[in-house]
Amino acid sequence: MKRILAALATVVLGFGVIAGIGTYVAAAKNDSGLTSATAAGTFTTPEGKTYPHYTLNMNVYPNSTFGGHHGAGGGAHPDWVSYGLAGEHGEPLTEASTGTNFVVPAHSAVTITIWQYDSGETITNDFFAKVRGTVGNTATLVERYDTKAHANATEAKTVTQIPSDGVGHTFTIHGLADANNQVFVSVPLPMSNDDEVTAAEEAGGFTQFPTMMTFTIITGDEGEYVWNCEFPCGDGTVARFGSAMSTMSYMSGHWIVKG
Amino acid sequence: MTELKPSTKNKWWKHPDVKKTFIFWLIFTPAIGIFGTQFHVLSMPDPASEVMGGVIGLMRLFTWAAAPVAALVFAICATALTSSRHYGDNPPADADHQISNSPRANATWIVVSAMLCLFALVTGLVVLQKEGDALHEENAIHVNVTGQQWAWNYDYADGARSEVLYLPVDVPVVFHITSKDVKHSFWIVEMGIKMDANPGYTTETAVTPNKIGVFNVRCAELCGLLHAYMQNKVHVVSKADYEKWLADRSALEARS
Amino acid sequence: MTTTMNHPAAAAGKSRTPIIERLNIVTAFALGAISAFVVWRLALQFLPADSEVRLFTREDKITLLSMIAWFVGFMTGIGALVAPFRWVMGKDLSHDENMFLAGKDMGIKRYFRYTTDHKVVGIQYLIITMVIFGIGGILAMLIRANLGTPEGGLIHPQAYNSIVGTHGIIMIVGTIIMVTGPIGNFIMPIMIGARDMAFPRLNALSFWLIVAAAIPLIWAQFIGGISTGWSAYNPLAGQAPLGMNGYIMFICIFALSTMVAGANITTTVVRMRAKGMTWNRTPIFIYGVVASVALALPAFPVFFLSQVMSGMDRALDTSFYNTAGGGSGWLYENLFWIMGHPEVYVILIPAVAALMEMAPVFTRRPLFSFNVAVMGIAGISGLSILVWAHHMYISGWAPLLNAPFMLTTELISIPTGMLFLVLVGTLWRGRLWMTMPTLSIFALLWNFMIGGITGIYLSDVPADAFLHGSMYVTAHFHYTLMGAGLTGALASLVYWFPKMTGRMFDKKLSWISFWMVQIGFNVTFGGMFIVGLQGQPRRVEAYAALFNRGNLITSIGAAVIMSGMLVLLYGVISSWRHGVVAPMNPWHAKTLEWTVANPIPLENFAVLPVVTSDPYGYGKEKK
Repeated sequence: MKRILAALATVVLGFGVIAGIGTYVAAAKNDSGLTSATAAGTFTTPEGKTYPHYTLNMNVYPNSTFGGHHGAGGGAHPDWVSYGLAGEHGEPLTEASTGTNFVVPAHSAVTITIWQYDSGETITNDFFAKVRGTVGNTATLVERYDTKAHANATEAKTVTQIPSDGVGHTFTIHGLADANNQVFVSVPLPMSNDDEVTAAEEAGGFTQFPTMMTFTIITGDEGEYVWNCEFPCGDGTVARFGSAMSTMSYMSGHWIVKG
Repeated sequence: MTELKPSTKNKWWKHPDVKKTFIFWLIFTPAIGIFGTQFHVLSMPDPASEVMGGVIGLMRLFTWAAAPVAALVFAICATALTSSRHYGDNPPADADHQISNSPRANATWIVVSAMLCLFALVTGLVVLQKEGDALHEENAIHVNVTGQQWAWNYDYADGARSEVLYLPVDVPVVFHITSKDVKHSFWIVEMGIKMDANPGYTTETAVTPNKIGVFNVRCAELCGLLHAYMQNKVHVVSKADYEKWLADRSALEARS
Repeated sequence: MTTTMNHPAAAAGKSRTPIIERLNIVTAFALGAISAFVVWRLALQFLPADSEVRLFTREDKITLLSMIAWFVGFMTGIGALVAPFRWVMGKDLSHDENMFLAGKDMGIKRYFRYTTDHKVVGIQYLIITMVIFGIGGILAMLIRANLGTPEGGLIHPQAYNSIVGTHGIIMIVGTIIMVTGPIGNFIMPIMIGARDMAFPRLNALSFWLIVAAAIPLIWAQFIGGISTGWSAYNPLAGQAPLGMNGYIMFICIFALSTMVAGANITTTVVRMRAKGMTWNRTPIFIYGVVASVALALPAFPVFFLSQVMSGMDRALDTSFYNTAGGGSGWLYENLFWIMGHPEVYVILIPAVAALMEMAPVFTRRPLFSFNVAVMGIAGISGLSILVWAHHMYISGWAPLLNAPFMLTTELISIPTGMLFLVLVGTLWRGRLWMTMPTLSIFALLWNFMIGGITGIYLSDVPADAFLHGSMYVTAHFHYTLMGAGLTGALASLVYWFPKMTGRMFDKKLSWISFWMVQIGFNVTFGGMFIVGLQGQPRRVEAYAALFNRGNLITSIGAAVIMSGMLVLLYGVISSWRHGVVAPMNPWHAKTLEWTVANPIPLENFAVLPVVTSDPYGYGKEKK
């Protein structure tokens, strides 16, 4: 009997150890917290359907100089590209503690604006140079947005694709969710002026004139999705999909549609 | 049941252990066959192609072929367990039955397993041959499949492109599969086909969907961070719906 | 011991403690850490920067160099180089020094040194196997906890991938050494009537290489982890973070260990069997151990090579596996599986052979068809070299080769069937002495039957096109490696425990843990078969709601296995410390290891035994 009790104690102790390690691993998860979309009235599609309207603002940086966007264990990575939350006029929210995991309501319209501060190259798969899955399959592009004057420096235009040799990054939502009609959104983000990006980086900041892409998507049924960048922008490893591309919360995140 | 020859002068099949084993075997064979096939068939998705139907058929066939062998092994185990058990810290007396070899049992066992092996091989080869022919189907539609960390995209004739696979029912389709970065594996679950997407090479597989509905594509080769999310739906639609969808997609692709 | 040269020079320097007496695990870790740090610092300082294109090669170089420095430092610190160095200098070890290495003092400290006595090495292997299973089991529980719900979410995707990869590779290593390590080293030489292994220093080397290998793997967890699964397919491995270098080093060092052990065990068995122990009188377990390590001899150099090339691709910008540079991922797959398939039989054969050794003892009758057993082991070993590409049916590498590889794969069922015949033939009309090893024979037949039949589905190309890469495969190989392999290993532990520790393994605890492990095991992997058939891919951290139920069943079953293993762990500790003192031959078995006294004297036999019959003559004298 004593032996059985001692064996039982070993089992309890063992599971205690496992629980401890599990808690440690779970706590060490370098994932940023959830960001909810901001409510903004209603949105009517060209077909005349009306949805509750929400907005999300994001930036894409040539480096990850502030860590909060990438969760507790993530941290700054000056040699990695990254996404991050943006203010109303594309200003970097350097203090934000969340950044890449989004919660949006189901059956709503979400307008996403992305300021792209990085330069670019030719995309390996030109499938992702087209705007896909947004309302009207289009996006609104401002090739130079003046972040000081809070105004468009060039005229906004509606685009369905961008030249495949001028892609900075992409914002692509896809996923695991089990719905028959899954959400799929892919929007290419054009490169900013190469020289300006380099000059700004050397000066320790970001270019004053990023490109700005605005598009609206309809969220569909609830489910778990992810988004990531489909432009290979990691380090020099195979297919340039390592480092920032293969670490959660830099060039990827969750996209959670809630009922 | 010609396994082992008892040492008694009686005919070997008269031994109570042989009878017992035989009865166990009679019970176990159908039990294993039925449980084994049901376990597989009920778990597997309903087939959406002849290929998948063939896979399910093979599983059924192999399970039934294996059932008598497995049943025999388990029947002997059951007989041994129910005949003579001894508990305690000291061993029981040595067994009476001291046969350490039986050429007849050995030969039977080896011949039977060789025949089962041959049977499995031949059935597999027949199905394999049929699948090989499917690649050369003349009226097939061709779809180029591209895997990229961590999404699939599909190129059709007429410049139509899509992130979701649309296929017409009852029309053979040949997939030409490649990857932009690392290895992926293109798996249409309900159609029972799978082929790796290798960077720098194009591999081929073919199938004829035979059911209208929505099915699943899943990546079956670990491909990095979001491997779990590299899955999507396949829509199998009528020929007319497919043509309409294809025209829409071509038009969408064509606009500037 | 083996070389006992009384060198006058060594005797002259008696006044100071010889260097080998000062080296132990502490100096090894210290020297390893210091040399790793020094090389890391130097590399950081002096390695030139890379061009823009390959940003990470410099860091890869630094990591790999530091790990190599660790390895060299550790092996120097443990004393592996003392004897070869002295030999080159022409001052071979003295008799006293050799006796010291053999652990003549019989103290506890010899377990922490470069001790050459096979019994010490056996215990060292036992402990490290238990540690590996402990860590691998904890990782398995983390995986199952994460997969308890569809969203996963408990563990971060990168960490999850790394946990899956680490669980895979260390469990593979653990199962490779679980029988041939502890039992093969401790029991095997006594079983063949030898005083030690053929190359005692190589024996110590093979163990300490595993310890040296462990550190890069642990290191890897802190520099990005092993995000590629245990197979580390390229080009994904080329993209993985720096932790991949830890995997590469781990495999290279472990492969060395396996090659060294393989050469040693093979030589020992071929050359050092007792007088009269002809091949027909050699116990079947010995055949299993030799087949296993002999299979590893051709397999592991290939593994070593595949990882060297992988490391070169990362650090030196070669392109063995990178298509863009003219290489091919298929090359890696081929090399990996040329190792990988023999390797599963390296794991399986000794475990099955151990149970075949126990079957006559616990049925009190001769082993049925000894020759068929030998032929089965030989047949599996031979065929296993020819089946590797069945892992690549759907890789697109060579569709024309699918049919021949299907043939060789299905042929393996014939020699495998022979092993079944031997076991059931031995059970036939035996007098069952119900012990935990006896139950394990039945458990093995059950689990291995399921693993074997599912293996036939997988060997069939069309069925594999559906099943490949799904959880079904995961369940299948757990049935073979764990259901059959680990079952045999745990039975071996209980069976040879009295000889290894001098105490009986607590009977009640061995039964409780047996039932918990076996029931939990079948629940776990039964559930995994279901989700595999439903279409859940392997190595996913999140899944569709469809797979919910099966995964929940699997997670619950896994907790039961873990509980059973913890009971076993307690059984090991408590029985070792205050179990019933074992008689010389508690099982009344007839192999030679039971003829030596407890505790076993340093050189096993005062007078070498002479063998006159096979060890299965139960009941013969009554005739």
